Amino acid sequence: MTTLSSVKRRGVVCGLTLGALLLLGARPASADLTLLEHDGWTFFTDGRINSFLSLGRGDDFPNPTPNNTPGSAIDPNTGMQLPNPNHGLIGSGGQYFTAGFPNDQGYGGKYLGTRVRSGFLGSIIAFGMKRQVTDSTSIKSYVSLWGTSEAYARDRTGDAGAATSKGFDVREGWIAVDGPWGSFLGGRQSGILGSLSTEIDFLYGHNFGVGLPCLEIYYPTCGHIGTGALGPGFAAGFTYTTPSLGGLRVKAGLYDPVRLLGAWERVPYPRPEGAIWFEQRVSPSVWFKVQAEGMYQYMGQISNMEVGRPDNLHSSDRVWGVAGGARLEAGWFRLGLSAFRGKGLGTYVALQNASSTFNSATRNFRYFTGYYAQTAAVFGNEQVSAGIGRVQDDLLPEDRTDIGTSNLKYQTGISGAFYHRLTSNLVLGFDYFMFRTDWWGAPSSISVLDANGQPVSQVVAGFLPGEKQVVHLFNLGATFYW
Amino acid sequence: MKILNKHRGSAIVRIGLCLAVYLSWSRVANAELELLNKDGWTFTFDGRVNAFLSAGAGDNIPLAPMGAPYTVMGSQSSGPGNGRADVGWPENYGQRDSDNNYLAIRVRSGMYPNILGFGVTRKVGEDTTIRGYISIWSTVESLGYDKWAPINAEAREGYFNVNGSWGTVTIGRTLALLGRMSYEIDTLYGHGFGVGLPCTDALGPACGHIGTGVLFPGYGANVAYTTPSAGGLRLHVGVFDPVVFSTAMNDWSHASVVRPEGALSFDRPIGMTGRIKFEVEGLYQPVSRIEMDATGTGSRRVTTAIWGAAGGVRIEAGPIRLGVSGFRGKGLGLFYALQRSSATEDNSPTHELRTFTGGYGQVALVFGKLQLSGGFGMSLVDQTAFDKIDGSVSVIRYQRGISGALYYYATDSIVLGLDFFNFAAGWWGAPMVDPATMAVTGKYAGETQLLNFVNAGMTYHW
Repeated sequence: MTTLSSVKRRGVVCGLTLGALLLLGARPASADLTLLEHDGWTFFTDGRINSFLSLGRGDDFPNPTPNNTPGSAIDPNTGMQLPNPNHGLIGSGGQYFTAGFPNDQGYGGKYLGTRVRSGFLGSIIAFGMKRQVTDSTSIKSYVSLWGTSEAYARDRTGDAGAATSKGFDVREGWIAVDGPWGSFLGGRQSGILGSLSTEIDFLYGHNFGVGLPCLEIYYPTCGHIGTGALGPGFAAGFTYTTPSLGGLRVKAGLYDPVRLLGAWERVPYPRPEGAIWFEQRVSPSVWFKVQAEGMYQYMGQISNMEVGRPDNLHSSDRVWGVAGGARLEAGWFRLGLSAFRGKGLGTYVALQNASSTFNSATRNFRYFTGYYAQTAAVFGNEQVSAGIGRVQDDLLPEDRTDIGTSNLKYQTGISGAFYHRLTSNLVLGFDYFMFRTDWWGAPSSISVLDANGQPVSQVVAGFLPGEKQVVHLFNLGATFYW
Repeated sequence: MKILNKHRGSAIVRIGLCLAVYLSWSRVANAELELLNKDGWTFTFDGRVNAFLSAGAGDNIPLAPMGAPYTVMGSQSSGPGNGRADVGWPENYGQRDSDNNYLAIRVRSGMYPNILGFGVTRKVGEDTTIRGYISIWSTVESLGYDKWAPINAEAREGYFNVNGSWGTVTIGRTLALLGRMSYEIDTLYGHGFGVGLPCTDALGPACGHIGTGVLFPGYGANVAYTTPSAGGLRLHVGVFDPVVFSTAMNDWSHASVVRPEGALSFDRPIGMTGRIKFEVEGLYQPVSRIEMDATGTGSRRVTTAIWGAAGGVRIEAGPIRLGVSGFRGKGLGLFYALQRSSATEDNSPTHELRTFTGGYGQVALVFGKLQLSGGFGMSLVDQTAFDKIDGSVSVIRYQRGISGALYYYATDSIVLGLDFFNFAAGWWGAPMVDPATMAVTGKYAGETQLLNFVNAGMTYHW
């Protein structure tokens, strides 16, 4: 329950990476609004407010596939065949950011839900202070406060006074020193691994839309994150970005380490992350960018929490990830491609604390692979977008003999969107998202009698048919930003 | 938010000569940025953003040996894991090794975290102004190394005051009074741009010397009045929202009346480069509980009083800054005044409140853009009579801090900081109790903990 409850609280995944986008200067058609310029100080704000009518329908979270594997022994007491072993699904019981689309609105195996919710980015109010300290060096601070329009779990009584209460999430709070030697940034900021895939989703996919709601009950939404795009999340850290060398830049950072609650909890060293990218405008209407990213974190655990126990063992492992992609803009055409692979990453965001990230018994990390493609066509004030992505969670050797669990296999997303810019600060959006989840299916198993005549479970060759969930989401709304 | 604003919020310092003196001598103080001045209204903005690379190494909080009949106070508390300081310095879950040693490097906020403060002032008479102020605080690190925990902003201050030649009335949420001088010394000469002791491994902001001689006054809702300065002398009185230590009827869960706090301060310059300020502070709060009879039914109300007295002095002469402070009181706590913690009361059926004592000395040398600081402080906990026969727990005895810091004021708004903090804690040791006769036959050796922190980072403030 530690994992579940902590996951429930998190301001997660979400639209993610506004920070990265701001840092990379990629936020389209938006400029900071200067409130004051005085004695060398510049005080500015930016932000957005949005709401969407969001309709979802499709399959409820699936039940385990019945185990009809032939071959179970006959119970000598009843003369009847022993019942086959049962299994459960990863992500069942309302676990968030683990697998599928858990919800509390299902009935008869079907899901139908309509909400008014925030989009890919929530409602944001941000303030910054800038000062030019020399001719070539400036200092800037930035703090952003995020909120959502919807209440937690459709429960207005929880709006205040509870752990899930509505309040500001201070997603960013950093200082940056910029000069000809590069940029140094310290404070709470976006991570690096997965930043390009999220940038693609933001710019060409769901900046003014919804996509996949990360959680049915709450939070800003995920766009394509969780279905091929990897959110870098936010964390305290120090990063340095080189100046552009003919379009080439390198960014390296040390971040506050992350523990996986209830399992890998000892994280004594900060987490290095880094990226290298090259961007070039090859003609007035053609521009491209390629980027590679990486992350590495030491993780440790102690088998017992009492001092002096002889079986007090310490073990360690590493979480790592690599990612990369490219963006192309040619006239009205936009294309983004990205991929990632890593150990212990998670489906939605790098270093995600979920039961799909590691085997709950052995605590061995699973490997994740994601692919994502997004295209958009921009004609004046109109934008049409389409995307497809998938993330795969590999089985561990022990998963292949764990007859009690059907593990996550794929999460797949197919999206389409239409945006109309009414003014330079107001955008109407309609988007569709097909979210499909596939489970591997539990290893096939039967019941046999042991030497004492007692029924025991036995793994046999093959897997039960994998479970599947498909949900269609339609989202219509407006975003005002400044 | 700066210490200056805390003072304003506490109705101590008024704009005027004192402010000018303060600004000229205090590295931590800043002017607010005036955003708007129109039709008699003034809208101002202040704040800061910072981050520190913070490495800690040493002993985890001591644990009782396997099979021991007692626990070490603080070792089983859930408070530190939830970001609330308690007793000693426990690791966040899972951060120790198999030998109970602690090693961790985090990126965290300083003693003051990221702050946005907004003020609105209006002149309503020849010598009367009304000012409202709200500050929003947040950290850069997330709770318990959990990347996805939201960073909840805290509206730490929200008050307005009416300021005139007759004094200042403040209404709202501000810094309290008891412990304020020690906190001010730590901010100005110690850790205003540093970290010091992280209050907990799980979450900031950090504590500086708080918990080791400095008593943090905490923030509370109050109505307060400050007299005008009479040659530097001011009286501050306020009634604060009361605090309880439990939700259980038979524990200190009833506080029927507001808590009075007060302070008397004297603050004036000496010559062109000197200054002296001293202050004495006090608080008193009755609390009660319902004593249960054998059937578990409430039978009578028992009342006691939390009280505290504190004081200190700080002197500035040329490049030298010196501050000394102390406190003593019943039911106060180790880190902040009226702290609900494992150390506040004993395990007896009568829930006796423990008595706390603290002392703190801080020195700083300011040479142009450089500041060198050094500090020493210790907080002590007295045992109650029951503690001496309670074989179930080893009670905290002291927490000690030794600190050093180097600050470089790169510009008037950027400060680089490197600081070191040595934290030590000691426990009384649990009494040995004969289980047959319940007689005390001796005492286990008192446990100790020693930790070192090194913090390096940067603060941008305006």
